[in-house]
Amino acid sequence: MHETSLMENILATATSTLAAYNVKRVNEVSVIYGPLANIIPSALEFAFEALAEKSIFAEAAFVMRLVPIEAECLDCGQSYEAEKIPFKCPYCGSNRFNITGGTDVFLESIDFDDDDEL
Amino acid sequence: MKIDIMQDMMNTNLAYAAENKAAFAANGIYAINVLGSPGAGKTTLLESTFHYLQGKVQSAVVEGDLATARDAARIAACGVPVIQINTEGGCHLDAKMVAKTLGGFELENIDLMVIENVGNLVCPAAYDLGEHEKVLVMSLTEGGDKPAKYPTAFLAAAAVVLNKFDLLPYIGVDAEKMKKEILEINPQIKIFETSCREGQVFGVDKFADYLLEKASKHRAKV
Repeated sequence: MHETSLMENILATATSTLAAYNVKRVNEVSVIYGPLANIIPSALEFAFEALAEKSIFAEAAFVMRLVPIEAECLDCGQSYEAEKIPFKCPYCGSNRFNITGGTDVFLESIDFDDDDEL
Repeated sequence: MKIDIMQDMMNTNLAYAAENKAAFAANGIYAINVLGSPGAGKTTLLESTFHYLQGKVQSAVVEGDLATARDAARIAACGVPVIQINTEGGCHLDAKMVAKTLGGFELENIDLMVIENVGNLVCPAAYDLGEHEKVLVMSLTEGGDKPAKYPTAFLAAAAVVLNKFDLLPYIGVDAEKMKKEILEINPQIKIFETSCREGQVFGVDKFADYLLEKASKHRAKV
């Protein structure tokens, strides 16, 4: 349950990114996360609602996208998307792997209306 | 307009983890992050392990708990330098909390740094503290189905210690099936079977040797 501190970081990063623009309104904040990030999507959404209130993000939609676990085969060296346990290399069938992705939460993008656009 | 950011939101933690990693590297320290549910026997395993490691390797401990310095007192009683972190409700240690403690140790004299995380099988697995490996402690009494139900911790760990093996005859857990399921999740994981109960200690020597070998090899490389 570390979704609140994660959301604080997401909004702080978004705010400092937007400081360079003349933002009229923020439409969407997009986040991608991996299955191994150990976050609960509904808790992150709740944290967004709670923390975005009375900020420039109050009207924005919060979008989360789950990305797959990425693994690198320790026998043939190929990278693959690991779907379900037990993980198995689709190229050589080996079950020896290194996890290379799917452990993180990324602030992917922000969509907003810029005053200078008008 | 839409701007792409693609920034890791664990970046603050990762920056501190890199700092810790550098401090460990500069001093030839092998660091482990010990995870497991509350009551799995993490602290008891460490007490037993330090008994074996005494005189062979210089260890130190960062203790994480929500409250109290009880675990730190137990570790200190083993003659091992220890600093307690109280997270005041926080469900995991982060790299910044650990970074703050490192100044309190004589790092140049330490070979093995053990970071005992807050008792929790979920969140700690997602936070890199700068350690070389994660060691998971799970007691048989938690139930044989737990590896399959909490796979992320097993995927992240290099070793798992199955503790409270002395209770096996009483609890109806199929330990062989449990081990098989652990290896299905992570075929590279090293499994240890231990009991840390006073008078019935076994298997801890093998775990201690494993840590000793890791710390010695690491030291030799530096």
